[in-house]
Amino acid sequence: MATALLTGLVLGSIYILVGSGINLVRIATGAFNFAQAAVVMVGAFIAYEFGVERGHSTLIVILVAAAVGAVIGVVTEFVAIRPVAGKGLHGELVTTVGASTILTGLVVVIWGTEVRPVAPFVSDDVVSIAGGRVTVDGLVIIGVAIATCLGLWAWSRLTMTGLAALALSEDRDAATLRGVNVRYLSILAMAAAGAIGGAAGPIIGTQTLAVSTVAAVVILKSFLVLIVGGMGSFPGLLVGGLAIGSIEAGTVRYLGSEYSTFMLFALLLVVLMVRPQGIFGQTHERTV
Amino acid sequence: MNILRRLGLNGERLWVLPLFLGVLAIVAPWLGVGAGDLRQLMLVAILALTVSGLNLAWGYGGELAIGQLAMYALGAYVTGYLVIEGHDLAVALLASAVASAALGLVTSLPALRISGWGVAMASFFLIIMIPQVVKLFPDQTGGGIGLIGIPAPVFLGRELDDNQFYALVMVVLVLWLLVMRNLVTSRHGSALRVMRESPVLAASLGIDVRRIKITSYVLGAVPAGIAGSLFVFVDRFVAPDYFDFAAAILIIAAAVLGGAETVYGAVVGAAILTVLPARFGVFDEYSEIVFGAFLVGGGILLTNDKLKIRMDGLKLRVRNWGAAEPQRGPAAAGTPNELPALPPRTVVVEEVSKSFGGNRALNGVSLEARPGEITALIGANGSGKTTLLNIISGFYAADSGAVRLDGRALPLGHAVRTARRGVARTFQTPIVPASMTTAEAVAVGRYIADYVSMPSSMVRAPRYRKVAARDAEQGAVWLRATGLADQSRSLARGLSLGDRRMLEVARALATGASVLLLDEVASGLDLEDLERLGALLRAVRDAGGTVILVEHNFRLVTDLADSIYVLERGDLIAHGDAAHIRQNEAVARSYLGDAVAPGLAKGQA
Amino acid sequence: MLTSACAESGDDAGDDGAFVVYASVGLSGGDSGFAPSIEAGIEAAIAEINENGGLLGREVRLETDNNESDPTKAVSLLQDRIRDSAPDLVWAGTASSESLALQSLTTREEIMALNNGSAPELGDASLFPYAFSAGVRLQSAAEYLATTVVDEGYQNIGIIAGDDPAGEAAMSLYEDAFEDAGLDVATESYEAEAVEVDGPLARLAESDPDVVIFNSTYQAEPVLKSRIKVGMEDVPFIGDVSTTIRSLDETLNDAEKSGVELMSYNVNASTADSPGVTNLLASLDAAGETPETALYLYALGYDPILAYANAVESVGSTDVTEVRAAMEAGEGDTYELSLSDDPGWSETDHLASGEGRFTIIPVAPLVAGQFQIAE
Repeated sequence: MATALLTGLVLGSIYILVGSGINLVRIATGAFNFAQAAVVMVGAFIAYEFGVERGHSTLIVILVAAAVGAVIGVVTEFVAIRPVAGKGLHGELVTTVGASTILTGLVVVIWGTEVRPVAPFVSDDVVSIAGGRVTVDGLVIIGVAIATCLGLWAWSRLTMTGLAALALSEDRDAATLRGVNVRYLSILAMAAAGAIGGAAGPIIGTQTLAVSTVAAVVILKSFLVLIVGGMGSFPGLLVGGLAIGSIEAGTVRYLGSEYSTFMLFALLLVVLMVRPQGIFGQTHERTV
Repeated sequence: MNILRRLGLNGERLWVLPLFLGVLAIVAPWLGVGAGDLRQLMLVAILALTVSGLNLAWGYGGELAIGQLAMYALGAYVTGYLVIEGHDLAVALLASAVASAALGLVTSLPALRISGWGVAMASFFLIIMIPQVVKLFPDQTGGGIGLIGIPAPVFLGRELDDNQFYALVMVVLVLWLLVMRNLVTSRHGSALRVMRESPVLAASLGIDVRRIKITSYVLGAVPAGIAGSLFVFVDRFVAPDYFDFAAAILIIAAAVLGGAETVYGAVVGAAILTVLPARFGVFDEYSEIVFGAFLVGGGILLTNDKLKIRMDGLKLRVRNWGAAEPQRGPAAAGTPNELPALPPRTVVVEEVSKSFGGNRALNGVSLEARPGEITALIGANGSGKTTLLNIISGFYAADSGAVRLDGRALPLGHAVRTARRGVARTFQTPIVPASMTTAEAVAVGRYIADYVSMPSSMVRAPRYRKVAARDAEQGAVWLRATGLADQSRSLARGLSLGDRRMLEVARALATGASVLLLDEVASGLDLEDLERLGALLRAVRDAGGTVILVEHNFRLVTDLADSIYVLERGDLIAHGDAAHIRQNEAVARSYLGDAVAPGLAKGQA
Repeated sequence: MLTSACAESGDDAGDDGAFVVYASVGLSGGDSGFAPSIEAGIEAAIAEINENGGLLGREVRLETDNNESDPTKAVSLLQDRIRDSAPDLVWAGTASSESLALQSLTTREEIMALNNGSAPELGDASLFPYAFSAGVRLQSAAEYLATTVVDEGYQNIGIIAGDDPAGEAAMSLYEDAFEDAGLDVATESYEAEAVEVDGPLARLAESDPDVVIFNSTYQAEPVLKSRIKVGMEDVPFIGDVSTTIRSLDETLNDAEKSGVELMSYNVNASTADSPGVTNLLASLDAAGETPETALYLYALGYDPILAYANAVESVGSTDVTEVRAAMEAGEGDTYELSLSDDPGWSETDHLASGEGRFTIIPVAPLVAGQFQIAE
């Protein structure tokens, strides 16, 4: 029981780490960035290249991964988000999937399709907590995910830039009129999301290793967490992520893996039936 | 061009060109087109059918229901199973269409409550569950390995060779596009756009959003199911591998690249994504990167604003090409003509109270609006006048009290049913759906009053033609009355604010309503527009309409209204004609005291 | 890879008297992890035949199309190629869905179609009479595993496999084989692309197995990492052949490797020294190719081509019916095969038999296509 819960929390934390970057971009640009999980994957490969192959320290690996992630974020913003965001055509469904495809393709060309090792972050030893077993790195992931999510929440509520971004997500035109610099915010958000995604790569990589197929697996679950928690909400992301990870792991453990997709689908329907905007989501219904 | 015109072609009849191309495509094998090209064309046609279903629900209806791949897979498996069992392709096609329609119906049910990305997520689940569902029926589907041994297609008892099967695929595509084109150019297409733009607007026109949503899901599923059915014979093999996430992305990308809100764009998008990536194989290990770059580039190009505006303009020019010029000049734009008589209706509000979370918005308000009169509701911001309007029009339920129309209580909180009782309204910010002409935007008001079923619209049955003729005739009446006749063929979105407000009035009246609720209809209008509006409202009144005006503009109100009610923080503080209200002290204190100057200034702005 | 010509080259098969082998391989997309190895094996075989004077004296030319791991694209490309003029021999895709789609076509056209699949349907001679694969029948692998666990004295067997088609097929055959051998079996499947397998392993642990047999088409690491997490480090794990396509040596730590054995094809072990293996390595070396995956994948491309050449040389014709019969009878010995002396094709089953092909190895580093096993 405890092990399944811990497994679920680690899984959920992976979704949260990927989801926080998506949420950030979503708040600042209104677009859904399908390429975010691919940035995390690139981060994992950087952990392999710099940490395992070249033997650099964890700090350097994280910095390089964050820097590369930020660059990818900014480039994605210019190429795939800005030209299509806010037009109501969901062009990002095509362009950010394209960006994700490019990143995966680049990874395959550079590192191949094989699984590559990622060095332990703190330790890959297994420890017992409250009768459950989990790796030390698993605990690190849970901690980092919670801290990232809470940090971004505080940022969006307490800082001027964060509030400006929130205002932007509520009403783009009004925020623009009040002097919010949309372009600057959009670039900033994509750079930050890229850096977070890149830096998350070496940490998530301790669980997933560096492999080119991981982005596709993780992005959908992260998307699910965002929908269930409420798009654009960091508390929703945190609660949704931990809940969905636990439910997924619990289902696999006690019912069998063949039920997990059906269970998550049922969960999605139930949550959306009760709260169509997600648990912590806000409605923006047009007033008449 | 002149030759075409001499043949009797014009924008309205231009559909014969795609039809001609379609017929050419059908007979291509006998015109010497090579087998390799035929196979490519067939793949384009099958993808186009699937994309077309997506266009209907997503492009026109605005629903992020992007699970077409699931219907496609279902169609493929149903047909695969049936033909292996020895059934005729005609039977299998029908069964696939029915099965996919059923799946569309099932998926539409949650969508009645969920919207936006929630629907997208549910669609994604539908897609990732395909292999798992396939595994539940290993004997019928071949499980993970796939269905092997699919025979040559036998259609209506005769075995088709490659060319004949190709022709069958093309015939199906052409028929579907015809039907689809008939549907989206009918008022159902307008209703879909209205639903996409604003469910609130749809409800105010009496359009049942749930029903039209379900219909769009079901109809969007059918071509995908049929496409899946035909796909079975492309490789004579069906496996879950065909229905992976990449395939779903391909369908979405084709819809975006071809233009989701189009009929023939599905073919263009499908062609781009079938023909071009077929060449990407030569990039070997770089092909994924090339494909990704292609998606990014295509996505940017095809959602480009300038291009979209140009395309919309071009489409409009093509549609209007060769049509009789609308009337121009003062005669057309001038004073409202006489309106047809409107049935007299009386609205009585009885002791209506309404609170929002402890805030009392309305406190036992009663009023009466009589036919042939303009009744105005005024009051400062937060006085409750818009709340009252929303209650009368059925958007809010009242906590207590009733609203009676000719003595019968209105179904408060049920906007659709209220609208169908003949109560119409406009909005503070005019809601004008994109990519509709002024004439279409007005005609959609007649959707319920003069209903034509979807099947009837799809095949252009006599009933459809009669109603379409009435649409043109009645629409023209309201367009003339509102001075929009010379803009009837322009894009409604491009109209000036004054014209958009006129359009809302015309649309409201086109529903056949004689009770007209106007929500701050004068705000932002210049003097000339205000005059037009005043003349129109008087004409409505003189025709016997019951006009209820919620307004800030005091001068307009005193100019127009026969009866004025003044609200202050939810209480009715005065009632009377203009002269009476002007002299009322309570009104002066509460409302005019601090608002009269800005109110006047606003009227002149 | 430089030798792979494009189908667009224009000259028809036979124009210059050459014998054309058309290969449809997934150089990009889902197959790209292993398809290049198979293609290199095909090239090595063809190079060997040409060095030996060609096939019945005709030069053999390879034409490769990248089907992007897409069955429909594969069929389109082959149809185009056939319309130009039919190739003499087809390599029908690198994944089972491509092979099944392509073989519907090659069977109708009566073209010999080699492939590397091991799904039972691909070997069914009544469905696809002209299709042959060096992929081993799963039953043979299952029997080998059963013998292995019986020899070790295990009674209570756990099986865990991915929920992909290959994993499911393997699991049900293993279960049958173990039960036939009188063993107690518990099975569990996991989501093939999952990042951890904690839950399924914990479920399996409840049956308290003496040994766990595991399968993984995508990656074996999650299984072996989860094994430690759920406390099964004392239970021996044996990976099936799907776990020796590449090395687990770098991606696992010592605790994760301990108590793990893997079933491998002989050809993958550094201890292998048959003439066929030596020839394959020499041919690859001559082509400047250093194997990146296990040598087995190269052998999957290499052996069927040479077995075909053996059959053609023995009957002195490329007539499909005659060659088919010769291949089923295992005739001809012009070339040495690498996986075994004889693929063991029969009149009804065109998948390879497993005799003498397998060995059990520890987790070991992979160098130039072979796991480095201490003698």
